Amino acid sequence: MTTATTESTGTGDGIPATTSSRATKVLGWLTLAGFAVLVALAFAWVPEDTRITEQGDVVGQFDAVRLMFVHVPSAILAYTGFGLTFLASLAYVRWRTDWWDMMAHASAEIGVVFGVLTLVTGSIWGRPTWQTWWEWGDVRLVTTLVMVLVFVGYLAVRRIPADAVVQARRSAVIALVGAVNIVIVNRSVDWWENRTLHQQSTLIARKIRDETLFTLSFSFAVGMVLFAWLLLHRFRMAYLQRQIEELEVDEALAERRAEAGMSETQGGRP
Amino acid sequence: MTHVGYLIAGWSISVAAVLAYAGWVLMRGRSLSRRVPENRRRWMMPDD
Amino acid sequence: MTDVPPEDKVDPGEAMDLSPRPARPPRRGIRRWAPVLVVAIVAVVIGIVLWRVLADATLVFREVDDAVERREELGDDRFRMIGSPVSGSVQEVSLEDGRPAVAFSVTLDGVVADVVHTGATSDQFQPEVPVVIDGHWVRSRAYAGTADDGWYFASDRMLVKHDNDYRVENQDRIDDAEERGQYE
Repeated sequence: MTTATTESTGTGDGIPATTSSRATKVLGWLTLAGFAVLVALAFAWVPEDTRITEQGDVVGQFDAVRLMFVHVPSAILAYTGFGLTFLASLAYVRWRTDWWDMMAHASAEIGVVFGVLTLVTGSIWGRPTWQTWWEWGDVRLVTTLVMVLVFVGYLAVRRIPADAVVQARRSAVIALVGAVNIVIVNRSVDWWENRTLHQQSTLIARKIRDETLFTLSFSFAVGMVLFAWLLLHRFRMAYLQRQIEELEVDEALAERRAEAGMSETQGGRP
Repeated sequence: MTHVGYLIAGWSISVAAVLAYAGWVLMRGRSLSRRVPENRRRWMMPDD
Repeated sequence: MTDVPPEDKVDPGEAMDLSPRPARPPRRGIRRWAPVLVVAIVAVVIGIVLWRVLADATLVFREVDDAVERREELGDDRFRMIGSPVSGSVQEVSLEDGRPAVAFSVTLDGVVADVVHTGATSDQFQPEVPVVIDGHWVRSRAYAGTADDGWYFASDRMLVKHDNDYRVENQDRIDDAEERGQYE
């Protein structure tokens, strides 16, 4: 099959071949500027975590608390990615359109990136705070690991060669079943308080000082802009892959038509 | 400042991972875009 | 561009040969089987993880009051106990065999227990910050602390369960402590 049809398009006329658009450019610059501000807030404005007990002992996490501003947003973005995969899979099951399947795929991949980051940054924060990098049997840690592994499996299943509809349906089922664990992960610190070192939610309990709360909220906002930027690019990447598949089918049909035309001409000669 | 090593590790790993993933998505997107006619890339605008 | 004749040059009355062409040779080797392999590995890892969690019953933390109440029943079984170190109770001791240890008391809901810890202590080993200590009960008054009830908990591993409190309290006293050089 020739690739001339697909290789020569999109360039040479001043329009760049890219997944960028005006929207992604705005989101990209907002992310970069937001991240710079976040670093300044996290390291120059938020004070270290210290408390003093009735007996006069100074206790707290001290500067290790600044890991909160990468760990917690990572976890929120992982939840967002997997949650969106769940919703998109649900929508696919209902409407069976490529759009929802591509959305599920794109958001799952972003969810896995941030899920892995949640585990890594949690481990780095855990060592100075809990005195351990990892604790097998800790329900919060293990359910989070299982959640990430389920969606790694989801992405692997999507790469197994299969009919597009079968693949989309199979993936949607895995996402819908795997999403149950998202709730378990989120609620585990309350359901099994005595089986995890992980603290309960600080935000729900409102046990946080103003500077830390503001910076944490700001990190969520920057994270969400980053998520939107990644999702737009990743979705367009999936869309382009579908377009290329369709183009390949069109080209194959065109070649067959050409051959049919030629054989007709040859067959008409005396 | 306390726990400097952990802070550097946590922040730099996060930034590096996001940059690596974002870079891969952009590069792959560019490579795929070259194979698709612009009329099938609806997000493109002439002034972009 | 491929040299494709316009569709109207093809006789619409004549059926085009759309019989399937021989398919592309299937992908061989690792590229074809890698996703299946990854799925299999992920399934096995999830199975192992769940098995380890379900099998490891020692990870339940017993609160100090519960552990004290069930001393006779627990005997010398290993388990994990959670409680907050009592301020001023921490002291370095030497065991009978000469090993260094840290003796302190932990409390929860008003119940106190004495502890002798031989492992590493956490950076966050601080009064009122709950610790999870791994060990067993010993009936002895050799290291009597605040509880002094004829028992101590012999632990060799310490974890910290930091709470979810990031509020500042007594900022003036923190500033004073900083000035005194109590921490940097």
